Amino acid sequence: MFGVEALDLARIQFAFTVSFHIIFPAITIGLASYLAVIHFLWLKTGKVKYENIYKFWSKIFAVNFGMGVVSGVVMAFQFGTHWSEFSRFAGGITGPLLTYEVTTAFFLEAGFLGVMLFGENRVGKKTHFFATCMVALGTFLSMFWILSSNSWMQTPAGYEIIDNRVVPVDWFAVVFNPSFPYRLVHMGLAVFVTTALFVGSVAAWHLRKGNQHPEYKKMFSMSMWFLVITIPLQIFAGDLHGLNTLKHQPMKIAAMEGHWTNEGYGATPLVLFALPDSESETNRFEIAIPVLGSLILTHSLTDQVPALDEVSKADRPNVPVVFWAFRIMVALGGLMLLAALISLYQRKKGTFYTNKCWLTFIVWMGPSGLLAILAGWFVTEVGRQPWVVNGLLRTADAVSPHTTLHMSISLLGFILVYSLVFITGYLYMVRLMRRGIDSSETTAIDHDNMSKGDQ
Amino acid sequence: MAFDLSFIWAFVILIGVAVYIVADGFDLGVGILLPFVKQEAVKDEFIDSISPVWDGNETWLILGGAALMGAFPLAYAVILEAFTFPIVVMLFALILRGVAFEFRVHSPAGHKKIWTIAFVVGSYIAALMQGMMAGAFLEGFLIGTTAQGTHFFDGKDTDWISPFSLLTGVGLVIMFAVIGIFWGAMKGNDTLKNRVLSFKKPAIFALIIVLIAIMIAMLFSTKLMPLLVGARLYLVVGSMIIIGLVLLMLLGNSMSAGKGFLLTVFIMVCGMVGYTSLFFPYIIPPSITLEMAASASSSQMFGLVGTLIMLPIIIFYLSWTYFIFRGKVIAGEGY
Repeated sequence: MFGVEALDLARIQFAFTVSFHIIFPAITIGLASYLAVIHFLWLKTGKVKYENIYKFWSKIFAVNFGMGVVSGVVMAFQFGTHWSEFSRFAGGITGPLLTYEVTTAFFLEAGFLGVMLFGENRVGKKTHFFATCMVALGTFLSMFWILSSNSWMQTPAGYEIIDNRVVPVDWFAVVFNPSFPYRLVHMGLAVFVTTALFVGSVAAWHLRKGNQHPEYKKMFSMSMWFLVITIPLQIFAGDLHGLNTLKHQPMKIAAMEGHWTNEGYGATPLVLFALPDSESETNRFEIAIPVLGSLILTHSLTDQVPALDEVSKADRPNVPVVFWAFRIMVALGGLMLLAALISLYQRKKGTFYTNKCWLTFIVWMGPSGLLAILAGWFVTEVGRQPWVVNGLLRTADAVSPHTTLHMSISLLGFILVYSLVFITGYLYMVRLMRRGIDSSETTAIDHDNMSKGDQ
Repeated sequence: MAFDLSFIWAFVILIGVAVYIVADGFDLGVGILLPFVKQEAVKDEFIDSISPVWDGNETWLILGGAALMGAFPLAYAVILEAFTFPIVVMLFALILRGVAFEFRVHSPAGHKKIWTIAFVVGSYIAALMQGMMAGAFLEGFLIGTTAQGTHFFDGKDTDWISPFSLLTGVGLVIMFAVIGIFWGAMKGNDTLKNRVLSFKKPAIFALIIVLIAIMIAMLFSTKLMPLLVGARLYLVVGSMIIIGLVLLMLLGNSMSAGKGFLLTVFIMVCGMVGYTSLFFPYIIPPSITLEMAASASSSQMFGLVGTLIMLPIIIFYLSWTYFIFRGKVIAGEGY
């Protein structure tokens, strides 16, 4: 009884801290690349417009980055404090991957961020641009390693089990494990889409208020073009990721589809809406399209998709959570596609920067990328249960043997500190975004010399 | 083979921890000294002196944690589990300190004071927790063994609190204050420089008193006294004598701030040598050796190749950023 409760508390705490954390890198990775592009345009054209955009977003980037760093440090230590059995069992693989993340990514970001934010008057223009690029590279490498580590836990490869712990035998197979390429592409596109929506919605907010400055138009236009290109790619990548999951983690797919049994069925239907009931192992209020599930997932009209009843109850993930998180992600993706299509129409009609309904829609779409990422991670992480390392280590066996009291205190501490610090931080960020571009900071006088005389 | 790799890894982790203590040490020292600086502009100047570098400094801590997980997963699991409480508190403190850098600048005017307080409180608590963990680590962990021969932490959540760990906690807070004083004197303009230097004598005297107290506590400790034999005794006593002499040198008035800073770094390195010699070759004192806690040599090898290639590169560009931000703080510099 007590063991189970402490486990639940540890799981809630991990879900809470990691969900809070992922918001920051999701924006940091995309924004760093965006800043590098804007910095390049600024360097190449010397236009004040780009300098303004760069300085505006680098402030928001800095606040966001700071919150990402400190909440990320928590993750690095939580594996040991709350999941000591996991660390003992899998540390020989996840540890070196994390070490690579620190040595190739964290130091790069941290070292060059100082130059990027504070060094403009101390280094040349090109060096300053180089620093921005290094920060962007660092964020990307960080995503590479952390997704490799997570994917390995989803689809372990390249290991042996010796003395009750994993021992790597083929590092190439470990790093490039079966689900890693799909997860990297899907998450990579997701963070860029998220940033495009984030930047686009801030621009839309200002445009809607009547601030028709070239900066906001530029930001808005770039974001919307980006969505037009990447959303279809993302839908395609998501489909491929799904097929990969079907191959390696069929129970996750069965949970996503709310697919309880194949008995008495032919081809698998696609469930659009349902209330999955784990007790009776059925869906209530189901609305389904016959055969479509088979068509999407097996690309045939007859093949069946594996069903939940193929494994015992104890080996199934929480179906309602996975089922609904998946639908939220897909629905948000649909809205993003709609936004991309409307943007083309609005451009054609000539009301792209002025139509209030359209601009309001994009303002509201601002957090949709973040929500879709969170929902997607709930699908993949809850869908992996009851395993922490798929097929090798159960979550229940991975937890530290702390008491329920100990876990309760630390969970409460995390909720208090995170809510206070990070919600406040987000309010400050919103404040910066509302305040908008401050042209007085620009070095408008002379663009060919090193930027002197600002402040 | 495995033993040699463990040895190298232990050295890498030690270097990481040592760099962290020195680099984030003066960052935390700034927070520890901040309440004694009165004018708002001078406070800003003091914090500005570390704004461009604190993040890189803190990364050494994550390197230590990640390397420990990869190379010695057993030690990572046991030590972090035993230190869950102080680690969580330290992390909260580092969160407060870390966000305060940005929030102070970007918050509404009325909030600035709150984030300055958060910065100070975060610095004190982080330093205290680190110092207490350092002391508790030396006193060792209660280790159990399962029927399968797996080692686990068999103690209580509160084992890390002891009179000795309190002493080392206070000691580290004062040590960070001392290095913060020389950092402030080196980077600060006249007002800041004179202000922090006025604390030099009391801080160094306090440090000497705490060090003597720690030595006495060790002599009376049933856990620590038996360690002081042979080469260990010479290393510990030797480093203590050197530290004492350098501290007396630092009390002199004629020394430049830069030289004082370097000598403080030297003290911290000596402290690390003495400290490490107290538990080597154990990684979970008093019973688990480096070899027993090591991951498979394939794990250690993979991580080591990357780390040994990357470390010189990291040191190169981090030194370069320090070079860029050399000299006194320029008021209002930033973005």
